Amino acid sequence: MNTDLALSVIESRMRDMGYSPKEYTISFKHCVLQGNERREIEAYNELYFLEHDPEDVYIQSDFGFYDLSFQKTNELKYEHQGLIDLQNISSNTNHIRFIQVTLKHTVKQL
Amino acid sequence: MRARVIVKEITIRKQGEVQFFQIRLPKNAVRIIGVDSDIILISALEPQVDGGVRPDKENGVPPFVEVNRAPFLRGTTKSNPTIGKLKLQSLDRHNIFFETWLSFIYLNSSMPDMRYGLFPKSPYSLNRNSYPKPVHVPVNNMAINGLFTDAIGTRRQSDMIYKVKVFLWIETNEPATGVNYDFELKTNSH
Repeated sequence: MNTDLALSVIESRMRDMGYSPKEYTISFKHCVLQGNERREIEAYNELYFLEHDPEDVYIQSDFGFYDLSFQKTNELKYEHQGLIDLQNISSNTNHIRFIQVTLKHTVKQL
Repeated sequence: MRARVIVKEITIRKQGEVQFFQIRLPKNAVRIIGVDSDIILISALEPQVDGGVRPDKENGVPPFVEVNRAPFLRGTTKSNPTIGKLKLQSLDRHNIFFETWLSFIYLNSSMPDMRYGLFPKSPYSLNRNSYPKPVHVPVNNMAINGLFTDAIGTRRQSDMIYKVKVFLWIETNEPATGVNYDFELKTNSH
């Protein structure tokens, strides 16, 4: 996954759900996890897209799973929603970069 | 409008396996009206050991184990029928639209009600057939994403092989010459 691909996937995904680009905001989220740290992100009404391929991390959400070292899955997901469980499975500091998509409450007419 | 069913089968082989799959919908699909599932267990499952031992054990016969018939299953029992968790996602919707724990037996499906009010009610004694769970999901995209996560292999710490079938009931815009199912009518009335 790279930034361009993530942005185009976000646009297509949001269009399928009926949202125009005016109706959502994109922001960047860079998570720094200390060694073996576990963190939860509440993203119940948001979408999180992985912007790169981080190693030594375990990410699980309502309909997403990402762990490069896990051999018992047939796919990895870069799109995460709901309660996102982040785990650094390395004892070193690790970085995870997300593109966060948040819906706007109202669309102002400009 | 007409109801049709699409069957998707996946095979789980490894302990703790996470399997993603896609169910393709026909072009004339309008909405999803129900989801049902089935499990075929291929690996052998030994009976519950602490359910009791037959008295003829004392006569030199090898001890036979009996299946645990406690009405409520503990999470740690070997006869716990929970297989894993199924989730379905529509690309037209935010997050998931269906989630359930799957079991390889229906606790109430094997025998008719023969207690005649004389015996206490047991979850094993009443008949209940498998029934699609009604959902109402209009579809524009022609694929449904699915996720199945193994639980029985993780709990038993062994590789269990089994097949999971997902039955997706859909409504199409064909002429209504098909059968109207009662769960479909229930969904429409809401």
